[in-house]
Amino acid sequence: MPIGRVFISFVIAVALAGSLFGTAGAAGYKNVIVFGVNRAADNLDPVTQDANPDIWAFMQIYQQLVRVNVKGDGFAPDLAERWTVSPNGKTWTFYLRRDARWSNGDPVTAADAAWSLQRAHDLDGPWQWAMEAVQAMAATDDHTLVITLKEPWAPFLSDVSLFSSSILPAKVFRSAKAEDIAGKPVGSGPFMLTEWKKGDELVMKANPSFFEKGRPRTAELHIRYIPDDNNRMIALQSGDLDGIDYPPFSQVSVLQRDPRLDVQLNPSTAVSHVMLNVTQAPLNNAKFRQALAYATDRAGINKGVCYGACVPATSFMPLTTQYFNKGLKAYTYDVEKAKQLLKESGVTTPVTLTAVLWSGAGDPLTTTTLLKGMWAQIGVTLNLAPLDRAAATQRMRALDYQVYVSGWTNDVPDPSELANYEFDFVTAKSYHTGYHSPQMDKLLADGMRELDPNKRRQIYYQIQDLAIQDSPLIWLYYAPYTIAINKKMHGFVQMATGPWLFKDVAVEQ
Amino acid sequence: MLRYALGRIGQTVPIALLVTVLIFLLIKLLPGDPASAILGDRATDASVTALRHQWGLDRPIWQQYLVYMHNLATGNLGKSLRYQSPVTEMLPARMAVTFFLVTYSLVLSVLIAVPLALVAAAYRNRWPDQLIRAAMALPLASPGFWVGILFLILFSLKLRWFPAEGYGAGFVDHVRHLFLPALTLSYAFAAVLCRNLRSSLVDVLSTAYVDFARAKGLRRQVVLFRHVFRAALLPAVTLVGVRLTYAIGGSVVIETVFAIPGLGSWMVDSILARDYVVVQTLTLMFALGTMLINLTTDLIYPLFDPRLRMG
Amino acid sequence: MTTLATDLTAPRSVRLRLPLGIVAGGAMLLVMMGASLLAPVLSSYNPATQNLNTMLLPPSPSHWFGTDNYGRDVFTRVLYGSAIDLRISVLAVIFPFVFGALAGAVAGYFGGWADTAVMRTVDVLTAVPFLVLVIAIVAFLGPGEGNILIAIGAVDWIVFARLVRGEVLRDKNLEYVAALRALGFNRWRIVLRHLLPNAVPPAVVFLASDIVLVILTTSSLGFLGLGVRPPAPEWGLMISEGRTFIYTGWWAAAMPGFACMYAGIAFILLGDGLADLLRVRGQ
Repeated sequence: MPIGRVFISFVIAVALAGSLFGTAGAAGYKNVIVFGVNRAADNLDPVTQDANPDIWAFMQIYQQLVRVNVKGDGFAPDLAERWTVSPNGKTWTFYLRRDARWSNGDPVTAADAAWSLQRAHDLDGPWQWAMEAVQAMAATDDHTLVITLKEPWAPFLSDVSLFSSSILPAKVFRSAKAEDIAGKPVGSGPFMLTEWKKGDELVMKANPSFFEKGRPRTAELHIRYIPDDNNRMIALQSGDLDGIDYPPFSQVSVLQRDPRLDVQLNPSTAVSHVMLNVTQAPLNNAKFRQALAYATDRAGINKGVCYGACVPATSFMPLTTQYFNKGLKAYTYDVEKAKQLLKESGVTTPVTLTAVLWSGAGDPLTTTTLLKGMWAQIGVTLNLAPLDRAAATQRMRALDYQVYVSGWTNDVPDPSELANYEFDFVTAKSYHTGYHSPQMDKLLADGMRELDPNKRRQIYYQIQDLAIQDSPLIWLYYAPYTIAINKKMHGFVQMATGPWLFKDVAVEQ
Repeated sequence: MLRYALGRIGQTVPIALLVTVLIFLLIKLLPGDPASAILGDRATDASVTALRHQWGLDRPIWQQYLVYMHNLATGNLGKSLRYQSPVTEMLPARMAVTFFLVTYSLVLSVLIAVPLALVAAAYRNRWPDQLIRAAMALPLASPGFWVGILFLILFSLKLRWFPAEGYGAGFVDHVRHLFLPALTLSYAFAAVLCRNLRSSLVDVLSTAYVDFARAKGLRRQVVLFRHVFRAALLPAVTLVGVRLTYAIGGSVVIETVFAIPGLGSWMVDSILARDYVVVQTLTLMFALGTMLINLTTDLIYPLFDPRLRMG
Repeated sequence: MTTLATDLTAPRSVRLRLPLGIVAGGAMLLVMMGASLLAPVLSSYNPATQNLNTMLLPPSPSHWFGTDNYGRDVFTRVLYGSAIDLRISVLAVIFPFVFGALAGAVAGYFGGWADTAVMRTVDVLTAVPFLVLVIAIVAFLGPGEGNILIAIGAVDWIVFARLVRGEVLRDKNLEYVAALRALGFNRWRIVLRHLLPNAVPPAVVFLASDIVLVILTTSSLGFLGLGVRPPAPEWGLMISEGRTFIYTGWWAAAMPGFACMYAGIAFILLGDGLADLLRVRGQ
């Protein structure tokens, strides 16, 4: 039957067409890097955004004065070649490199830096605290920026290295609308945004004015949004993508078996935890919270969520944070102890708690489901209330929840950002748990002002002890970043703070 | 004929207006104040007031509808809060993808259904017919997204024949990328088409004039093709219209399964991100598309049916 | 015009044989309902109990459908899930069926203003693809079982209305209706007691295939994260959760899909059988 024959040849043609298609490039390398990500960027304004997909995307475009090093435990020069601090700790001077250019060809000046940091200081956003200590900023010449602080501020270099302290071209953005800064970024970094298919793909081209000669090595970078893990993994294995982020832990061993792939478990600054709303009974009872902590099997969660790839958490701080106390022992998994503490707490069982989470949340959903099974053993029933993402976040922020599984990624090596977010009621209602302790407040304030590293270490050790004792959150595990790339992709680096570095990447044909 | 067409178009206009009322009212289903619900928890009172004013939420409901219609009439389809950009900016590219996908699935359905229906009708009540009928009952009972996942496992993961995501660049690449999703969509589409085409073929085969053609000594295949098939096409055309609107609905889920940047995956993404203005506008776009298809089917119908053409 | 019941009991009716579809579909349905009721007896596992030592085990004699990523027995979850999916689907079509039939009968019999109101609403709801409209309504109302029922109910009645209206329009000019009118019967009584029962059979046939559509819609909503809340063993949700593991445990997503398909086939057969029965009646 002719129609049948037409159909078969059509199918064959389609299949053949597929195998012929590929990207050609010079000297045995591809012209385009295609990288698949699990969440889409929405907004590329460095000052107002707090989601990783946005941050990691605009970090390809913008530079800061100083940047956190790859390991996440120190600093490296970026737009500033060097910097000095006055003996009283209040005046910082940054000397900008002279060869830096915006992607439109204009030179990067100290005036741009002053304008950008001033904007970060003035704009009401999630990172405004980073510039809080600043008294004044001034460009003394085209390449010198002087910043005066209100008082000596220990984590200031951390704050300057934060992505929200990105340097933007004042001339382009001074009178621009908010949506232009959000949607049409112009930076001095290795790549520039040339096309943004929103909710689909960010198309970036090499910035011809990037100061490092011969970088980036590849002419184009496509960051493609593919929400489903399987689609992303299959596309990687079939060669449609050169690399992907977040292959799920459950599939890491499968991908490792593929000889063409390099599966990376990169050290991160992430910590996963359960938030407890301590403003309501029975979670306002510290003994009850400790009982929950003892009833939480971290090793089991590591197995069930990370398939053994994570490290059970012993502190609120991620592993790579400065002053992380390696000697600390967190709660062991001890059901008997938990039952005893529960009895001592005076809370009558059976108790019912509700966990708010967002439907479609991968690991938090698994974690919450596992906690339900674990806490049931001590007579605590945990119900799940999945909502859409925004609604779940809204309820969490309004302290309209009891239990909420989430996680933190540290953006700077200094512990003060996280410590303040987590335990200072004023900053973020103590990570939206409602926890408030005068003893903790004092330690936090001391930690910000103490300049002597040894004394600071002692302060942060005390904070870690107190945190475990009061347990407004239960810290679960430290997860590595999972990345899978084709072995033909060379030079890829993921920083411990999360962002990828593509400037040295070249992909063999 | 022209009068029929004009009349049919005339009927569509009031329905289209009522559809805009329905879709305008959708946003009223949001629990609480739509403006605060849409702007989320980071919104300031000033921005909530501004949005309430912009949408006329501080006015009576009929005026709000007029504001909505005025915006539509002036091409203002709303702004995505998530991307801070007008919906119209992202719409054309996404619409092209969904259009391609739905058309593709129509083509595949016809390519699958017509030969099978012809075989089934030719071997009525014998084993090929029964086999085809049984096989065509399965798709109607299977969830499309599940079939999509099975195709993904088989054709992308195991056999590596087709890509697992995206739209590709250029026509050939589109055809390759959208093959599995289009096949998934056409799975149920082809089944219905095949069932109905078979039964109308059977009906026509049993009419007198086929016997007459046979009596004239025409070969069986010739009769089947030249006479029967044409007569049987008529009910199939209407059905294609109906099923196309199902395919549009199905595309919402299937685009999500295959990570295709069309209207459907955008809608799901926007729901999860609470970008309600986009959800509302996309619902309107899907409705307009459906009405257009229904209208087109009705306008094509007389071309196949001589009785209507004359009348 | 006789009703369905009298036809079956009529002495002349030698062919008391039920159509194959009704027998087969009914049997499949009974098996499924029995299985969901007897789930605690049929399976020694609990659908919610997790076991980290039995994660993603392939199908075997001890786990017929394998286990999922929480070590839960997939067969047990599919059994318990059938209660959820059947309950939602049946509840979701009852309201549209009743409302649609009434609206259709009223529109068909009274005509005029009532007919225009009903039929224009039907036209408007037809203009938006069913799944898109249901998804949009759930998107605005929020996820959850109650909202699914509302969303489907709000849209699904239109086909019943159209079917019943067509029947009523055909029958209302029959002699016996004229006779009833002449006898001074109340018009509502004529519609509800006499016309409606005769107009309903085609809608009942459609009911069977409509349940299939609703099962698929419910599971689609579960799949998109807009349906029943986890960790309930709803089929669509199970498929959605299981698809993360298609590399290492295809059964977690495949098995609930087969269950869905089984339920669908049962109702399709039932629908075909009912249609056959009606055709017999018609002759």
